[in-house]
Amino acid sequence: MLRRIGALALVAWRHGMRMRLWVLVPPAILVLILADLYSPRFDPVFEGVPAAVSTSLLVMTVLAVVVGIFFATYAIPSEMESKVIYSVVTKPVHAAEVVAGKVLGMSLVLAAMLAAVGVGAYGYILVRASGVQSLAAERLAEARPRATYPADLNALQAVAESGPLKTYRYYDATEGPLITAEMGPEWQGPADVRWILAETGMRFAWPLGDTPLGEWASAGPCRLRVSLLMSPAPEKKPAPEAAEAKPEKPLPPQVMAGLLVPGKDFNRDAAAGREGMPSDQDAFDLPASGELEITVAPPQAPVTKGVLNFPASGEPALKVLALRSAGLVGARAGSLRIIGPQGQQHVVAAMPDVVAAEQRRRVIIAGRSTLPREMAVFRFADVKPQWLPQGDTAFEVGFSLDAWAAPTLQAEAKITFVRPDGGQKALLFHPEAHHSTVLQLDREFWHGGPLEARLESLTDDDNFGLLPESVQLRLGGGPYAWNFAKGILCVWLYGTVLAAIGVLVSTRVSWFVGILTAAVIFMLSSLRPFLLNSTPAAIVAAGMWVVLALVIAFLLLLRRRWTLWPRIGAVAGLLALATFFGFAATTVEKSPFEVWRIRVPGFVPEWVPWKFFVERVVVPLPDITAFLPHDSLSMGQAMPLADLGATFLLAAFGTLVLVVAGAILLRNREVAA
Amino acid sequence: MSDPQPVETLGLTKVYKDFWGRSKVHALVGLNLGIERGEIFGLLGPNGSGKSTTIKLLLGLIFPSAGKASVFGHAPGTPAVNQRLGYLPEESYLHRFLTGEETVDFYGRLFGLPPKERRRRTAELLDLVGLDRRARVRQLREYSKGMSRRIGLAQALVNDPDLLLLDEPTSGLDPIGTREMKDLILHLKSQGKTILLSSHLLADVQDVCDRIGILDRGRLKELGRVRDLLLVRDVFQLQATGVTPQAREAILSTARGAGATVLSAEHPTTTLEELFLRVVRADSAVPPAARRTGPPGAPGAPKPPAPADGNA
Repeated sequence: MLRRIGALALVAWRHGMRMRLWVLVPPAILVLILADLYSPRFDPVFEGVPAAVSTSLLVMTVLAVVVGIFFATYAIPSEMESKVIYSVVTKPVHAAEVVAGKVLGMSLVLAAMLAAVGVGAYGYILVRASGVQSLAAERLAEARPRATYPADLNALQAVAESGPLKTYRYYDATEGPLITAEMGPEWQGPADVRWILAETGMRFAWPLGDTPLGEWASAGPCRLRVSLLMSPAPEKKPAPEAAEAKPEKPLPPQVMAGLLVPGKDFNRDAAAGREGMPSDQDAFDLPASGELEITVAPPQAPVTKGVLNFPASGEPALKVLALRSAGLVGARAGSLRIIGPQGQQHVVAAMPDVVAAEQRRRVIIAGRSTLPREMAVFRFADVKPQWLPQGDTAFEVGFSLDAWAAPTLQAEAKITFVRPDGGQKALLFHPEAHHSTVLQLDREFWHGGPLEARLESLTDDDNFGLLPESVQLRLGGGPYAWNFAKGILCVWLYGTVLAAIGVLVSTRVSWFVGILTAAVIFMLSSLRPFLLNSTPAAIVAAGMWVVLALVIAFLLLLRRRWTLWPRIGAVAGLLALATFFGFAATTVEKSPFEVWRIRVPGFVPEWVPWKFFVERVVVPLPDITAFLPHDSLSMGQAMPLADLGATFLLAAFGTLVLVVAGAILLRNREVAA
Repeated sequence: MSDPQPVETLGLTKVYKDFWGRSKVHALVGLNLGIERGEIFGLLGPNGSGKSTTIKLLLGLIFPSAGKASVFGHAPGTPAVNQRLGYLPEESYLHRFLTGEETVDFYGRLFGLPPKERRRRTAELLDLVGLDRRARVRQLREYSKGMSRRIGLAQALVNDPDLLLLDEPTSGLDPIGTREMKDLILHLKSQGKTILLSSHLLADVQDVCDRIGILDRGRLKELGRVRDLLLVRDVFQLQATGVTPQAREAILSTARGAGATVLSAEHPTTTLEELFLRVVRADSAVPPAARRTGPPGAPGAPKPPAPADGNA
């Protein structure tokens, strides 16, 4: 069996080589060099090499897509068309061997091409890295005398000492980010008050199961009166440039309130009026007195702004979330009073719970120069001493922060490391928007075991968007070239899976239909994040361009005199154009603290069965992009061998499933019909 | 247990349908056929009569609409059947980017031949079909039609098959190649192979086949031994040499005296093929490799087919 698969793979390999697929290698290297040279000017010390690595891997991914989809999808239909398959399947081979041989052959072709491009790319990266060390040293000499926070210069010093080609092992926090606050004496206040901070996702929750609200609400409109304590608005230090500008009218403090049944959370988009108004939640202005009054209507009452409908089923809780302008909001036992339709009253005597947002991965902490200050806490459960590099006197702590400050603002931040014995070490630094920050932690202070990091912004109007991996311990990794090779291996696995998809679909359909099918599967899978986060109208608008391009491609492909290369060129060019226009016609946006999404001017009707499409088509699709190397690879993150092995096994399993499916399809096909 | 019949069909029917599943063409209707071990069976018929459809059904390239076919007692198209089968398609459907050597080697791999055996077999077969050393390392895309037929034949023989399915085996061959192909077929029969060939060239079939079946519009119209089918029982033919005019008259008068009606009495003519071969071979136009005889490594084998355009 293996011998026959090998024979078929060898033929597929020779096919690729004699079709001169290797001619794609020099242009690919040239493209990656040009793309890197003409990309926006990155900081040559910290971002030159990562940008070159990213561009290299991106170009290789495109190569993998082209070879994986176009060539693999061509393999079996071309043999059907030329009837070569007659001579193959009349030999003692199983359909599975035919399909496996094709996939393996394509994979070998791809491996050779990626290896060739990879060697060229690495040569370019070496060129890009040369001179960085001396540049860092010059910059360090210049910056050191003027540095406000010397900790900021550690990263520069590291580059000056050992160059930019370094790899790291990143250790993520085992818990966090958790929101807490540095309250200060003024805000510790009486013990019977609980506080929540605006924009942290923390909210008050009053369970309403034991109250008469449900019964009263079915009889007529009720009111909920919530007595909240409010902090004074923090003093703002105007930015120098903004001092003479017209002062902005301050926004009134707002809270969101909802009668939410278990499993349901606030929908911020809905509250902003983007998706229609929900019946069980709304935003309310908070008067200076802190007395919030909410009207509750029966479940079947029409949805009205500022009125919450009591849920038709389930036992709700009143949840209150402080929005950005509200600052610090407090509540105590007895803060919630329910007033029935006939004026009857019920006081909820219990202390409100303070709970976190459900299913919320990203948190935001607001910057404040005065107390109370929000903090994000990251906990590293137990870092084994043997994981730490031997001989070094300090470890690097990497940050990936979405800093949301005005460009002119020289933001300040503080990170405090806390040992289990209470020992603390604080470092001040200047965070840069969307850039990584690297600080160093002395080995004398900590040498393994549990560790807590508390991060806070000290600048008004500056926010941090944080993910669990935003604060990491960064320890030394392996050789850079080997790490780069691991990235290429991942691209190869990705291309192999794509090739298997291409071969699978082409066992039943013509080359053109096969390419369309494989391309649609590829696009749906690759655009999963967009599709899952974008509006139906946006998808339809973007999809229209793709469909238009595919129709034109189809018309072009009817020109039977065309050989393979013009066909591939036409389809690839049109898909590229479709992608360009698709994105140009829509808006791809990424708010600082949200995921990428597509937005579109509202000219497309909303009749698309979006929910069905997403739930039945997009979500079940395997995420083939999972095989691609992680973005952080370009930043020097060492890919653990175990991760590579797991990716390999996953790709092998996926390919095997695709091969078996392809074999079933091929075996039941009349190849000479 | 005795080996099952090489080929057996029972009510074999094939209807081609269009995209919507409507019957388009009845390519083969109720074919009942059995081919015995060691015989050469010819399927005759005009274009579109169902010859190629029958062969494709026996290879498992298409599936029957009704009836059944079996090859060596198994369903067609299974690896076990294909292991004993050689197939020469109507045209050489081979990878055009491979060289001649690579092609035979590739098919040898598919049959699981070990490397040493594969190398030996490749060399023998390329010798047998008369591809010289220069031609063996050229890609098939550069081959003439005759050369393509030769390499096609080599791949069909790579596994030393028990059953050969030859679809229009002499298509594209010149008279020398045609003769050599027929000689090869007869030689393979002498080795005990079973051969099913389809052709619309009647002379070729007549020369080599033991039995024939005549298909027309998908139906089997005639089936039997060639000699029996062609025998004209009420006519007697005498061929002799050294007959003087007097003797000729005496024979004719004797025949008439016995009540016979003499239909013709003249010198016979040879076939154009015989004349062509005599002339061309006298001029030594046949390449040495193509004149080699004998199966791989054995004396007395037939001559290999020659290309149509003498481009080899």
